[in-house]
Amino acid sequence: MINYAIQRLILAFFVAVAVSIIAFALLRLSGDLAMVLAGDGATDEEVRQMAERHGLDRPFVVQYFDWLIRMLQGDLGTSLFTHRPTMEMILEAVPVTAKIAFLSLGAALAFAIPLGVIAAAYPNTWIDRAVLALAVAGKAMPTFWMALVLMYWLGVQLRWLPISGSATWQHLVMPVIVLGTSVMPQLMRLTRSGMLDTLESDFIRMAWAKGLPAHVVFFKHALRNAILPVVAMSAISLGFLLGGAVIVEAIFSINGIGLLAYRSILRIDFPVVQAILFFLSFVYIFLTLIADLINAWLDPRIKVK
Amino acid sequence: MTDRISDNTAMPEALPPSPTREMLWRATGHIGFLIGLTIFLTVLIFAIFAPWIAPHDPYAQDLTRALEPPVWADGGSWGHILGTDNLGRDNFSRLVYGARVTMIAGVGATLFSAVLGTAIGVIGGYYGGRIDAAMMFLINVKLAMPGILIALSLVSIFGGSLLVVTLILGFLFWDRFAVVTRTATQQLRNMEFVVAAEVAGASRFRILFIEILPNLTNHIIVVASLEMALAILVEASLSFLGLGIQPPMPSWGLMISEARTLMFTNPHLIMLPGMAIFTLVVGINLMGDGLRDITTPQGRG
Repeated sequence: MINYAIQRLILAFFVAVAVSIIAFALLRLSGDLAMVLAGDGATDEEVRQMAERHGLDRPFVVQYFDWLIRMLQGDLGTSLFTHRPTMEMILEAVPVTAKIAFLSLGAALAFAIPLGVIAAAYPNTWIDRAVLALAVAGKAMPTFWMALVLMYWLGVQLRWLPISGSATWQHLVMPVIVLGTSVMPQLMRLTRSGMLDTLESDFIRMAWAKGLPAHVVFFKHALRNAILPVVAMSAISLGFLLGGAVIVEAIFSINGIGLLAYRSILRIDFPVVQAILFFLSFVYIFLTLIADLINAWLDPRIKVK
Repeated sequence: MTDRISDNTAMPEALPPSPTREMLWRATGHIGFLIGLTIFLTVLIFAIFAPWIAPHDPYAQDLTRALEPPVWADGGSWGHILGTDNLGRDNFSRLVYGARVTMIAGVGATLFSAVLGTAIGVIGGYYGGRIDAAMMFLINVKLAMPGILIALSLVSIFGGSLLVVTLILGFLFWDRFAVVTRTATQQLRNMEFVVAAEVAGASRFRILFIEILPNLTNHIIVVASLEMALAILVEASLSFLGLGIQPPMPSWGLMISEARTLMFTNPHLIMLPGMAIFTLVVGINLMGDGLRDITTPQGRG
């Protein structure tokens, strides 16, 4: 277990290094950032000053290491737009996004697991087909469109819910429905296929033979084994929800990390964009590492591979 | 193994059906697949024959006829079946041309990512060892990057032409191809016909392209259909956020974004393109799920 954990940790470290290089290089692709920063119609002298001020006249590698070292010291740079420390802006935005991500994952699991179990209990019946149809529909729903339709229907027509901001719990209902719908289908399919596999195994036949009631067989024996891939997928879904919140946050004007990233991209605020890209990748790497370790701990066979 | 497609034409009736024929037979009995295929082909026909199907020029503005309702609402006319937008452009024509943009971006991105991902997967799976570790590392790095944000940043840098958006989407979806083809190649490389080709002295090129690649086709097609659905959703999302296809080009996502301020008075302006995206993506997913059932009848899941 320790060996496996160390191996995974080393891999995660190198992935993080590679991601940091890409996140840094990405915005240098634009050619001359100094020219963009100086604005249209700037003189050569102004562009040169801009390059000097942001250290853009130095070699790429020097700029990268400078950025990396400062980042490791907790200095993510200063926003070119608000002139506030990037770190501060990110730390303000993260709790909002994290709250919505956890709520969405919770809501998705609350539907995905029971529905997956029911579908597996009655395979190839109309119940199973209805659940699968729900999964197909959920996966095909464009999040931004669903958000607008809910806004129109629940917010404007029925006036049940407020349509923008994140002040009260009512504000979070629609974003959670939309994001929950985006991750639910996959979790449901995994629960279903895991249950179908497990239900065919010997220890389940044994449980039936002992005369255990159905709910004990399904939830105590089968689900516990079928849930493994769902646990791993939940961690990955959480990473997706943190990074994929852009659209929902932009539509409902929620000041989370997604909206901050979107706004920063639009106003070419590259220190903020870089920091967010790296931050989200880091969270994702961390979550997948946790998922792998949980899986290895629950299922010792994985370590051997 | 590799020429199963060519040998089914002259098959005598008495022999058991060829794998291809068996697959076709399963396809005609798979309702989900048939529905999905019909939706996909319909949109494809709209995309290809857009100039002949669309009754109006999708770019022609006529402010005197702005925001006409669709034909079923009060004041609608057959001149503009689905009404007009705030610039007086014909909604139906824009939807038809939007199908073209969607299909170019979706199919183009999928082809691009299929080639990239399959190359990475096959090389890793076939060579193994350090090369495989390097390919796995690439996949891990790709998975760790927040795809939508990267795409948004890249569009803001390179501009939102159809070509740029398609290429960026291509870079977003190669990982699934790589993972699936890598596993399949690992299984194939130890099979007798590949070992036989190696022993017979076939070149690496021949083994990869003649022995292995044809046997990956089914896997690639299944992944391609599912990834195309995703690519179409992401294209629409990027265009909706203003960092995808740029106006005045008709993209379904962009049409929804343009109609956003009008959605409370003219909800059909966001409902129509939204339904178009939803229906197409459902169709492609049904087609992909169906293809998986048809090509691997034993392994449903």
